[in-house]
Amino acid sequence: MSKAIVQGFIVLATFAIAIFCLTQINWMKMLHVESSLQKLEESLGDRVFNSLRLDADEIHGANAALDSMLHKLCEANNLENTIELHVLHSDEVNAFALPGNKMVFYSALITEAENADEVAGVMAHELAHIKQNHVMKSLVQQFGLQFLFSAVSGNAAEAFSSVTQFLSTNAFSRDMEKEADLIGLAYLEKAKVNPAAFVNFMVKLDSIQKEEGLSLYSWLSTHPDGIDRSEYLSEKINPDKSHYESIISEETWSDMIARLNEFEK
Amino acid sequence: MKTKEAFAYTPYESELEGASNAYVISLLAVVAGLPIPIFNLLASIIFYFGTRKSTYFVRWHTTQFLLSQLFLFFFNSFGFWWSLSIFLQKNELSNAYIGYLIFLIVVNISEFILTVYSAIQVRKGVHVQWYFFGTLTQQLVKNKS
Repeated sequence: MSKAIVQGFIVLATFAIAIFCLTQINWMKMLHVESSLQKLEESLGDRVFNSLRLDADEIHGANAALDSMLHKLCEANNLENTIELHVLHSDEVNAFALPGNKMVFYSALITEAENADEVAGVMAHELAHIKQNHVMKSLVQQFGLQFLFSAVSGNAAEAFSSVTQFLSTNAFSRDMEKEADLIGLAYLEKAKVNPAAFVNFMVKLDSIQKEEGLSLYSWLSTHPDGIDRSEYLSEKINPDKSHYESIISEETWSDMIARLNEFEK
Repeated sequence: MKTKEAFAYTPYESELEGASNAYVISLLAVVAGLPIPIFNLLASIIFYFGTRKSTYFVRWHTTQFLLSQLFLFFFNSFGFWWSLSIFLQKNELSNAYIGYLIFLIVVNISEFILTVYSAIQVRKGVHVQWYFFGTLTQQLVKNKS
């Protein structure tokens, strides 16, 4: 029996070494898997964004303030800032992440906020979705890779309409939303932005939506219950931390709001 | 991974066919079994129980093949569930997964070739003993006569 044990050990050891060696090779790069997925993601992002722009005008003037907010969040959290920010004119209170590291804010969400820190909370949440690769995970889960590849390679307008609808409404699972909330909260704390502003903003939108039943408050209606979220987020806020700073100056914030209001007219 | 050794006695023609079938049956199961690893193992188990009262030579080869299938089953099952978790988006496509998949492909193709070779050789009356599995079978299967 000892001969069989020795031989069994040799076979298992050979298998273990072979598996170890094979898993050390960068197959994703060698087989161009990474670049294919990246191209797909970029292409999807461009096409979905273009279809959004058919219904809403882009407000270029508001980007600078949002960019500095994003820069501060990324810098404080050692994140590579490859995000492409867009502000679209819309009455819908919404913001969402798109494939290809794109983040879209609707103007109504910004004007609904009382200060920049509230918008920074939403931004941190969407940034977490992007950094956790939730966008592509959800898309593949919902539509399948084959559908997405064929939608990009062909000119399937209907396919893009359903992808756009999905991304701007109920794209993420409850677990993903909670993960993005908690990671977003950590981003805010590291950037010395008071996370309570984000929680307050969420509670405010939730109460307006419940009282007035406005269907335009999409950002909240497509996420888990605002009260639940504010509860678990409040529990996670570090009570000992009090040295918070505003993410951008009051002046920059006012300038952005003025730009948005100007566009309204 | 195989050696040709002298068997305890010279098997009859019918025994050669029975022993060779132990390998052939799994080749048929491969058609259905490729995506789901349990099919190959099931075919081997059914054949094993069907030949329990058969001659020493047939039992020996059936057991050797069943042991090898059992061993591979764990590796294939792991790969199968890993693939399923990627398909269901519980896991992501990674270098580790592709490396493991290549390992499985190489091992399964090698086993397939060895199985075809063994089926042919055993049918010719050659006692093919696989490395480790042959040694283990030698310990487990005894000549009752």
